[in-house]
Amino acid sequence: MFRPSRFLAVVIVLGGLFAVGLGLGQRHGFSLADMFKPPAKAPAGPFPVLDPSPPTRINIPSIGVSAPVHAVGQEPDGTIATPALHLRNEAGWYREGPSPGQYGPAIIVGHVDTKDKPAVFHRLRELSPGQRIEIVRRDRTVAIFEVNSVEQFGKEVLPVPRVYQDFTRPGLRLITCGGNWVGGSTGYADNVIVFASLIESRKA
Amino acid sequence: MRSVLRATVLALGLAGAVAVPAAARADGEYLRITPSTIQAGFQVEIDAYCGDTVNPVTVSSDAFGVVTITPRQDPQTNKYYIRGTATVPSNTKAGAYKVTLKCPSQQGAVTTLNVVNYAVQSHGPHTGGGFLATSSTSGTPMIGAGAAVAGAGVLLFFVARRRRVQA
Repeated sequence: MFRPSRFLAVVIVLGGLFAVGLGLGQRHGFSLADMFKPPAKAPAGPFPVLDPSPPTRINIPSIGVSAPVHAVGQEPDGTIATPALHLRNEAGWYREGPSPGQYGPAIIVGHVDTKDKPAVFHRLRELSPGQRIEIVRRDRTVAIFEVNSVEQFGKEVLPVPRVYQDFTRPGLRLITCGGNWVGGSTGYADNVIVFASLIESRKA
Repeated sequence: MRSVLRATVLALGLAGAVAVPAAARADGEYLRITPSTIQAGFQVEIDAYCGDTVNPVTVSSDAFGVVTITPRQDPQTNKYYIRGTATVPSNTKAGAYKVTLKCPSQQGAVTTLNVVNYAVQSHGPHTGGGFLATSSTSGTPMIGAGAAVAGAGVLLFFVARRRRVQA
């Protein structure tokens, strides 16, 4: 025998639990939409390989980024150092890693915001696969990268092999902050990371 | 000469669609290290050509020592190719290292291998000041409302059952 009210009660309970799940997810930086994103994929076809040369500027026309880049090292706690917080429109290239255009992941970090203003990478999340990132280098070549994916990870659990150890082709990782504000020495709970691959180069 | 040229073109094709890795050439000999930049502790591939020699050749570098490779004949082209791997020890200092191919003919080739060496940290960098932060209690209304709805459902379930029992 079909019992409409009992059936309805079960549906309501399940709906309520689903909402609780979404709320918990939202609180901990989990996004349902992220589950349906395609995996990061480098574009097919040939790619150039450039000699070492440090980056001097980063241009991302699609999200209005145009900023100088300077070299950064490591903090005492082993994380990659970042530009001083008051340098809103500057990015930092991790000088121990490859330069943009060499085989391997060139790492460029930038703040999402300062204490009172948005900063250089505040629109990084809006990038989508296929968009271009231009890195001007000291040797006056411009390395042009294509975005493979934009992803968010808890700061404690960055996937090290994917972010820092992919030497299959010249790549780029743009790193900024995201997720919830925890404060203290952590700041934001997550990192937003753009994975990109070199597709061409030209003279500046 | 033409056959050497053909072999070179073929080897380029075999190396993938990859354009210009660091390579050097003299009379057809070449040496290619892929990737041309590597993290210390990781492995690189060696791709070289010494003409039609069947004798072992050496590839040496301060980055990975000396590797001896016996050329192998490609059944399709009958050319002898030199393929191998080398691992850069994890305590290798960062820098540009010369890599030298020595053929039995005393000919050879030279290329450069860039080694990077950084202690990779799994903890991400601190890249924000907090201006754009949303409160970490976001999602709380959703949890509250969801719990209330679920509770109402449970209540409805029991009310419905009691009515049926009475009826």
